[in-house]
This record gives sequence, C-alpha cells and structure tokens, in this order.
Amino acid sequence: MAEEDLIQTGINGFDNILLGGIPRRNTILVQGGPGTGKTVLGLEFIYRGITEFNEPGIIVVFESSPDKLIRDAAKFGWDFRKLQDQNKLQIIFTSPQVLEQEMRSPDSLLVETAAEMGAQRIFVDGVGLLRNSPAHGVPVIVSGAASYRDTLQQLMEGLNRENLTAMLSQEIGLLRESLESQEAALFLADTVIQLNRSLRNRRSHRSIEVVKSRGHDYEEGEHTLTITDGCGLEVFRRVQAPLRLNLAQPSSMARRSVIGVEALDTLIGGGIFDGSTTMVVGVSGVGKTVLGTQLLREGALQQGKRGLLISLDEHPAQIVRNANMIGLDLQEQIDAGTIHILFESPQELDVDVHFATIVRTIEKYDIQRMVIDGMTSYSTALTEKGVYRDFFHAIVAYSKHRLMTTFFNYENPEFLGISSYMPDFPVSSIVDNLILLSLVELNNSIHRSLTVVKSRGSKHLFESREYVIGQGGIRLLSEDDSAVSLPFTRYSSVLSRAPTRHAAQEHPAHE
Amino acid sequence: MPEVSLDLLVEGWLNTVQIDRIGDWDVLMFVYRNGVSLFSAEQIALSLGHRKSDVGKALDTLGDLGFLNRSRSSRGIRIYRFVKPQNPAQHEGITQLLKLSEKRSGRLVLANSLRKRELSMQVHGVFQKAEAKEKES
Repeated sequence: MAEEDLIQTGINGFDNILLGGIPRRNTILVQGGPGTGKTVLGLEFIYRGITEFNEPGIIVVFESSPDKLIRDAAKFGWDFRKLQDQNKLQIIFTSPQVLEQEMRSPDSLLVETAAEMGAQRIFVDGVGLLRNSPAHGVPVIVSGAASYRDTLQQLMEGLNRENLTAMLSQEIGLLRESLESQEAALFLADTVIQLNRSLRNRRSHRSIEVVKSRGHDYEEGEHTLTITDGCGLEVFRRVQAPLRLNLAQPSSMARRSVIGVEALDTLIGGGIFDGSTTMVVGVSGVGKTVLGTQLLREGALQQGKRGLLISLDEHPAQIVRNANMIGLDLQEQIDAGTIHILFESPQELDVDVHFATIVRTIEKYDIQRMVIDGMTSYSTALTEKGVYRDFFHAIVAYSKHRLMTTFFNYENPEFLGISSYMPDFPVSSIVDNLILLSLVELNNSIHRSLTVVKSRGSKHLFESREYVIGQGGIRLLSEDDSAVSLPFTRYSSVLSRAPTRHAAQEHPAHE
Repeated sequence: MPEVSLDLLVEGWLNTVQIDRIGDWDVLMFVYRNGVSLFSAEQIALSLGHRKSDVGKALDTLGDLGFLNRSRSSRGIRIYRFVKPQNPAQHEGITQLLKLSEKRSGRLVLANSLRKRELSMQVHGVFQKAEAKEKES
C-alpha cells in the first residue's frame, strides 16, 4: 500500500507495529478496560495528526469534561488550547443521544464543523455509551445489541462519508449486553486495537495488540505499551517476533583478537569472527566480567570498535571501580564515548522496553562489541521461561544481523566441575563459541581454568589453560609460569571434581 | 481606604455583565466549561436540572449579551461556543465572576446575589403589573 494511503498514528513505535500506518478512512476501534490508556491513545492520535502531519482533528467527548481533557493532555506536553485557538482542533462535548441523532441527520452540525476546519481525524471517546442511547425512540439497552450495532454502523458510515479517519474508544465490561455490543463493534470496525493492563510480579504492565486491521499487514501479538508524563505513549515491539526487514543474515570472514592475549586467540582457533556470539560459562567470581571488560577495551583501544556493557547486577560506578582495581581504565573509554554501560535494575525489568533500549543504544553509538553480564539475572527478572528464551534469541539474531561481536556471561551454579553447560537455560547450541571458566581444586588451593569447548568455523584447541587475574586483567599462564607447582598438563580430569596427577615419567620435562 | 465588601463587588460585576438569573449563570458556566458543546436546549436542561423553557431563555439572553455563539439549528441541536467579551469592563466582570465561582464560598456569594436580583426583578414585575392595572382601571 502506498505511503499516502496510510494514516500514521505518530505514536512512538506504534507505526512500526502497523508497518507504516493504518489505511485511511479505516474505522479504528480501541477497546480495553479502565485505565488501559484508550483515551490517551485517542488524544495522541489527534495531537500527532495535527502537529506532525498537519491533519486537523476533532475530539468528541461524552463523559469527561473538555477542561479535564485539556489538563490531562498538558501533562504530556500537548497544548490543546493553542491548537483550538489555531482552529486545528475542536473538542466537542455532547451526549450519546445527540451524537446518535446527529449521525442520522442529513445536515449534521458535527460533519459541517469537520468540513469547515478541514478535519481528517476524529476521536469519539466512549462509544459504548451509545448502548444506552434511544435509537429510533427505543432505548438500545431495551432493544438489544442489534440496535446498538445499527447505531454504531450509522456513526461509522457517517464519519466515513466525510473522509474522516475515525478512532472510537470502547470500554470493555463484563455484563451480557456489554459483551454483545463489544462483539458488534468488533465486527463493524476495520481496525481493532486491544489494550490491556495486568499485574506482572506485582507491577502494572500495559500491552497493545492489533486484533485486526483490514487492508494491510501488521505485527501480530501483544506488544508493550508505556504511558509517560511529558512524552505520551510508546509502543515496544515484542522481542520474539523476527524483524521483517532484517531477514537476511550477513556473515563475515574477519577474525579478531578476543582480548589481545595471543594464547587465548590460539585456543579459540585464531581469534573470533565478527558477528559471532559467545557464551562464557562459569561460577560466580571466576572472572567473567573481567573477560568482558577486556573484550570491550580491546575492541575500543586496538580495533576501533565501540563497546557496550549491559549489566543487571552491578551499577556502572562499581563496574568502573572494580575494573580500575586491576588496571583496566574503563572511565577513560566511557568519557571518550568508545565504551558505554547500560544498567537496569532486574526488579523493574520490562523485556520489550529493555530490548528496545539496547537496540537504541547500539544504533545511537554504532556499537560493535557487546557484553551481556549476565544471563542469570535475566532468568530471575523474567519469570516466564518463554519470554527469557525469546529475549535471548532476539538479541542473538539482532547482534548477528549487525555483525556485532557479542559475549553473554552465564553463571553456572556448580562450584567445582561442570556437569552441564547451562542447566536451567539450554541454549548453548545457539551461540557460536562456548568458553568455560572453571575453578579447579589442586592440592589444597583453588585455581582458575579456561577451556574453549566450542568455536564454530574454527579449529580450536580442547585444552584447559590456567589463568590468573591481576593488573591488566586475565593472563593465561604458560607451562613455565604455572601458579601451581605443576602445570595443568600434569593432571588429568582437570574439569572434573577430582583431578588426578599423572605419573612423573609421562612428563619428564616437568620433573 | 475603606474595604469594599465582596457582596458589593459581586453586585458590580453582575451589573457589568448584565446577568440577573441563576439559570442564566448556570447555562453560562455549562458553555464556558465545555468550550464547544453540541446539544439541544432540552439536553442542557436535563444536565443542569432546569426547565427547558428557562434554559431556552438563558441561551437567548447569553447569545444577545454576546457570551456565546450559536450555530444554526439541526433538529433543535446547536453547537454552542463560549465567547470572551470584547468590552474590557465586561471582560473584567466575567473573569472575576468565573474566578469567584471556582470556590464553594465564592459560588455561595454569587448565588446569594443572583437570588436577590431575581427577587428584586420579581418584585419589580409585580409592581409594574399593579401599576399597569391601576392605569387601566
């Protein structure tokens, strides 16, 4: 459909869900329970129409006083009085009976007003009240849903005749007549938008769904809706849906150093590919965040690649301080704009909003290396397993599409020895590389071990190498400078809970 | 300078805007609050709890005084728009009265003044009628 045949709502993020907009002159029904945002949606539809597309509009209200409407709109920064003075907006207060009579009248004043001001959009707030309006002398509530359907059809046709794109809001109730009339409205409207509000972890969550929309395609499913003072509505696409425009998957042959440590690059088969995803698995305190910090610094300092560290666990100030303690100056890179830290509290995490924030940050700063620290916090924040998986798949798909190098840190619950890579979230098959950071108990001391267990497209080494964390970050130890009296090569089953020391003659070089 | 009582001030403002009946004031407030309203006189009467005839009269009075614009009638329905008076004195009077009616105490003073005016108009009417009768006889 040509762009000019679509009417854009102008609501942040919503036109993307509508794949450009709604066909002009479609009658749009917005339905939902109290407090779901029906009126705000209608007001913003009119406001954006006037201010962004120069399409004058009319708002018809039955219950709420225009004064309150103007006051509420001001909360979002929308100056309705100014638009009224400019004759680009008319807020008309009326009753359902009068509106119903008006729509049957050949010389309707409402239609005349719309024509005079060149209105292209109209929002009628609370069409459900027409249920109680006497249709042809008989109250609809008595005559039933069929009459309500007639009244609604008259209203829709009347507005459509005048080339107005009408948005009607309808409150959802639980009474029988309410359900019947909802059904009537659902059938008659060309586009139906459903708004919901529910509690998730005792937190209020709003969502929006395009139930139907004649004449064009749209993104199906339930998307997150937020209402913010000073801004208005914002729609966040559900994360699991594949991006329609981004179906092609690019790939790269370019390999780059992970953290500037040659020994690690050798282990992983000669560096990592651009556009690859890596899962770093290890128990808490093993050095996953340090590895991530080094990855970003290597990218920023040596490869000219901007980095993003996403943390649900630690505040940026603490991340910077901890990195500084081992000689990794993150602040300098943050100040230079080559590394960014995105911190969000897992308690209030909304996955759709969070994903959109990540995408915006990546696009705004042209991020090419990203570390997500860590996946375990997502699993506690996103109680629904399916949503957690969807988020992970979406972020993998998105980073691959942009040929980003992405590291995910996953906290394995096992202290010594790993019997499963990711016991509560088996997605290791999705990532390209898998690095195990393990703790190993030798004699009576704990040591750190790094093993590359998977590296797609590379001849990686299946060796476990000891590493230490000191000034400059992670350093892989060579055979000669092992922190233990004997190097790892003198042991078998290093990653098990019970490593065994080889007999001395098998490794004479270390005797 | 002696303090002028609120009652006297209200009297003065009402004289300026030439509103004498509570019904007229209620209709004015209805139109003012709603900015642009699409109604029949009957519907307004229903909303305000006044008689249709009184609302009809009030709409005529307010239209004549220039406080509202009325569209043509479509089966008794009109679009009513509140209009701010151009005359500075009237503008000042209506602004003060609207401000006063924002608070309950102000509304009571205003209602009291309007009741007195209505009563005095009724008494005046009775005297006029009696005078006319006397002349006839």
